[in-house]
Amino acid sequence: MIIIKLMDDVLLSILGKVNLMTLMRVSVVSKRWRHLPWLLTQLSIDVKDFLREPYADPTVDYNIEKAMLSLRDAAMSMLASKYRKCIISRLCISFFLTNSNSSVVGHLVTDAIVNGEVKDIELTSGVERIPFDVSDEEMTKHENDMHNLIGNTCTQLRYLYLFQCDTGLDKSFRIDAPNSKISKLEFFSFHSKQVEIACLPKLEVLISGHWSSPYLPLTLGNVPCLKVVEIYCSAESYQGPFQLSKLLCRTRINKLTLDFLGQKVWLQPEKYQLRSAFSNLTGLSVAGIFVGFGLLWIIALLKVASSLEILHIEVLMLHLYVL
Amino acid sequence: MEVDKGKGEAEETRKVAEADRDTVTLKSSDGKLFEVSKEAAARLSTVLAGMIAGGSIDDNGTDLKQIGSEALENVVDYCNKHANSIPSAALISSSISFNTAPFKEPEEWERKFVDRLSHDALFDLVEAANFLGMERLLDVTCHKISEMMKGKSPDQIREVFNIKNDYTKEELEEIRQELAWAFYDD
Repeated sequence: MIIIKLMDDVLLSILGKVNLMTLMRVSVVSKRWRHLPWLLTQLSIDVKDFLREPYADPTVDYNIEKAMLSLRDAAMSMLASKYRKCIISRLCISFFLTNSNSSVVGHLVTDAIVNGEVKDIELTSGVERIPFDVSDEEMTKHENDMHNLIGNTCTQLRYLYLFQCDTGLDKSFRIDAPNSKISKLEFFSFHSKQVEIACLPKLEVLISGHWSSPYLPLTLGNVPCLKVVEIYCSAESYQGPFQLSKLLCRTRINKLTLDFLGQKVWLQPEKYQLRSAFSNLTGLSVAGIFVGFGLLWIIALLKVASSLEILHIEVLMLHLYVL
Repeated sequence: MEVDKGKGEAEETRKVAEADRDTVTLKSSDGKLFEVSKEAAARLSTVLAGMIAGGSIDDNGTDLKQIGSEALENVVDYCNKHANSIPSAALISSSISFNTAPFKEPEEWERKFVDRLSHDALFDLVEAANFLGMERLLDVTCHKISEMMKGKSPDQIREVFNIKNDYTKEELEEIRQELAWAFYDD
């Protein structure tokens, strides 16, 4: 059979497309393939792979603990220098943040970077639970864990993706991490009352998508390296417009993307307030504008963006179904 | 002398015509010739693009000794189909962001294209795509093969790909213990 003769680089292209569990199963099929998992330069370890029947329910603490232990073993074995012959250019770890295992993930990440095995790590942390199921006490612990992870244990981390990783509807979350090397921070679906990025000195790219509070619950403090901001949300009727100038008042970004995903425009009309924030803006992309809306408000943005070189506007045609 | 001069001119004209041609001729390892649009070849294959730019394309058929006629026919077929397809709306709309490269799932016609291939033809094509530096075709063929592996046990994978197990029972048990996190439900 010809597949056994395929060259390693082709096999690696194929194995780059399967999850970790399939990857390990393929590797024990034949001796010829045994070393392949440790030759991949991009690796994704997802806690969901370890949530399996009869322990699949992620709302049960015991299941999460069990899955996190497997994830720890998996990460340790994939990074083990015994087999590894090449550097991982990108490692993605998706996990649940709980009290007992945040330091485990933190140490893994730090060790991997210190040993030079991994160039870039992406952490995805998300508690995909119904917020009402989680006690206030647990939420407060969760908040401390998050902060400890970002500010103390994972200071070498460069990319952090926070999925449903909030601290409760009526709580604020503050990130103050002067030692952190995070350069790209991405929020997706957050329900906190307020997220304050007080200090992230190396932050260059900030992406923020889908919030549930009435206004974008984000404030920026000391982020001197911030160059690119992307905000997207399909706003519900109770959600109102916010002042972009307030969010960006302490920044001088180069690129801004605003995507309304075909729903209402959540931007408050502003004129000269944006002048200083837009003074270095060279690229502006405004997308997902419902076809029935006017575009005149974009002219107001252009008037204050004196350095603008590229403007991208995209109108969204939504199919309306009338019952 | 007069005749010779005429011949030379005819040769010149033919050469100019060849350079202006909008197709290139490729020759498989078993000597079969295939024509493919120069534009599509250059756009889809980094190796062919390099050969076209470097002038190392042979008008009588550029030798591709590593690729058999069946695989080359599929490569050419893919290039032609690609040239005629219109990118789907999903691909266009996902290109708005400055930061994120859009993840491209195989399109409907690409899926059909690899689905109709036998296993052997698929593996030949994946090697041809790798050899010719055809990133997209490599992506689509690897995606197809990876789907044949997903969710299967080592035994099932051996069965699908007709691979002989060269481990002893003891060796397999040792691996299972070492990588218990990956095999705890087998």
